[in-house]
Amino acid sequence: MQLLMLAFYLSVLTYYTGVLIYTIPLPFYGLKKWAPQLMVDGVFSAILVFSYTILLWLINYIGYILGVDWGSFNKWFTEQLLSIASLLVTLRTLGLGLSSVGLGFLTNSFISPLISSLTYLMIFISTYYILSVAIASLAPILISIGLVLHSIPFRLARGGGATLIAVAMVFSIGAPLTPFFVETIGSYELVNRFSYGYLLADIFVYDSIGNAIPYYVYEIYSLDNALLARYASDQYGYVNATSIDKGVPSSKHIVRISMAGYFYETIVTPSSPLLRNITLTCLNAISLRSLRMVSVFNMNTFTVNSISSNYVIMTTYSSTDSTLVAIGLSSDAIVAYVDDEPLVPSRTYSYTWRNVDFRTYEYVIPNGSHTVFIGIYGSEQPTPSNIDEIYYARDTLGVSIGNLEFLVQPVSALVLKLFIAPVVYVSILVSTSVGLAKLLGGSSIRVARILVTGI
Amino acid sequence: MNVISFIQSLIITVTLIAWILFLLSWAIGWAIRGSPIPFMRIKRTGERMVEDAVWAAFWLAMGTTVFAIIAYIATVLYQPLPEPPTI
Repeated sequence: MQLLMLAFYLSVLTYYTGVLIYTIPLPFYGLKKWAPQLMVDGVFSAILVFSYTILLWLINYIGYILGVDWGSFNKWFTEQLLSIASLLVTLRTLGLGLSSVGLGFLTNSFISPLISSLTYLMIFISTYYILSVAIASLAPILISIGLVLHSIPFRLARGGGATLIAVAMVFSIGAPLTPFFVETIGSYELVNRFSYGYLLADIFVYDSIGNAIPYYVYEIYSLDNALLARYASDQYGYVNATSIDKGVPSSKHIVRISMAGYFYETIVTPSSPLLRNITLTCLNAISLRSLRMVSVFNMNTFTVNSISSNYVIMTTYSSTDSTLVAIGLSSDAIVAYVDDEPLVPSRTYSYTWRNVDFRTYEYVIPNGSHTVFIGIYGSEQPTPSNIDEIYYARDTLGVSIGNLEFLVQPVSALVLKLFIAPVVYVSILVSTSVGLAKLLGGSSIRVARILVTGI
Repeated sequence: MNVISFIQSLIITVTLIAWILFLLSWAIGWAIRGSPIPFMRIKRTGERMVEDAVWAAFWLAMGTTVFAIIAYIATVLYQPLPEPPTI
């Protein structure tokens, strides 16, 4: 308010100074030509001062027409930071993996410059975001100061003032539209592939009593159900995903564990980066030995009393009828007793999984508390056939020790999207504000450049 | 604010000086017009001084009106304009 009053009185002073020059009885044209100029300047500055509210309203109005949305701008900015961060995690894990393999020089000479350019990129885009928010929230004050400068007599600071007003208006309108411009110029498929990050891990899957489940298939899906990786475990229930070609995603993903035609699905969120163990437990499964399993469904509780590689005795309790599934090979003999009474399976399935013939019996356990005995007898110990494994790093990300240069491409794509495109957009905004400043009465390109880039 | 009151006193000083100078230059202009110096250029100078002085007095008196008109137009223009067309 004070600034606006100051600007108004300055413009009045300019007007009366012009009149004064008219009255001076010296007939020099060089002096007299200032008179009408000062009077018009004074009137124009006063018009601008009174239009202060209209100028602020114009910013909101034009922004509304163009579809300005600060909320989506904030969201876009956070997403960009996340995509840079996930690429950084991938590079860091790769660097660590390479150092542990003995290729530390590759980490220093190749991965480090990539990481530092990504860090500079993060600094730049954060500065750009903070600058936009600052100018937009400071717009009223910037415009007031610009009006004061504009009203100073004799056009002393007219250019600077007009530039300040123009920059404040154009950037308040234009900055939130950056995502539209950047996404049009700089969108590049390659970067999205790394949005899940990359982590080296040892994977263990256990059953409800702590035995390892052998020979399962471990599949990793993204949150929108795209297959990212597939690994086969060995007979000890262990998947070694610590080699650089393998690895798992470092952000939240869906895991599906398949075993003998049944599968378990869960969501895994790795909590810390770098090397870690992933341990999963199938809470309703009991693994007797390789490829023989017992699973319970709809049971309130069950306790395993004794277990060997051929049979399991457990105490179950359920409030309604529950189901028990015994999985064995088709050459096995499967028996079940409930409270020492033999039980007939309600359903039998025969199928082949990974070239091994399975026979599965489904039993209905009545409600209440019972002692259940399941025996799966057989001597065959086949090894399931191999599956087509999909290595996360080698196949999905396309990265391996042999072609590390490939990593430069997503980094360059990010640099194009988050550095070159915003710089182009800023120069467009600057030239627009210079044009608007010329309209408002003189421009000063140097002031605009310093205000925007030198801050 | 000190600056604002300083500028206000400056405006009053300038207005006062402008009135005084108006009377002075009007008198000098008529004197030059009426002088028996036989050079047309001097006569034209005198006429220009008179005309400038009269215009200056006119704009000096109208100063307040000019700014009042600007304020009025600004308040008229600031009536909320109709909603922009949505796509």
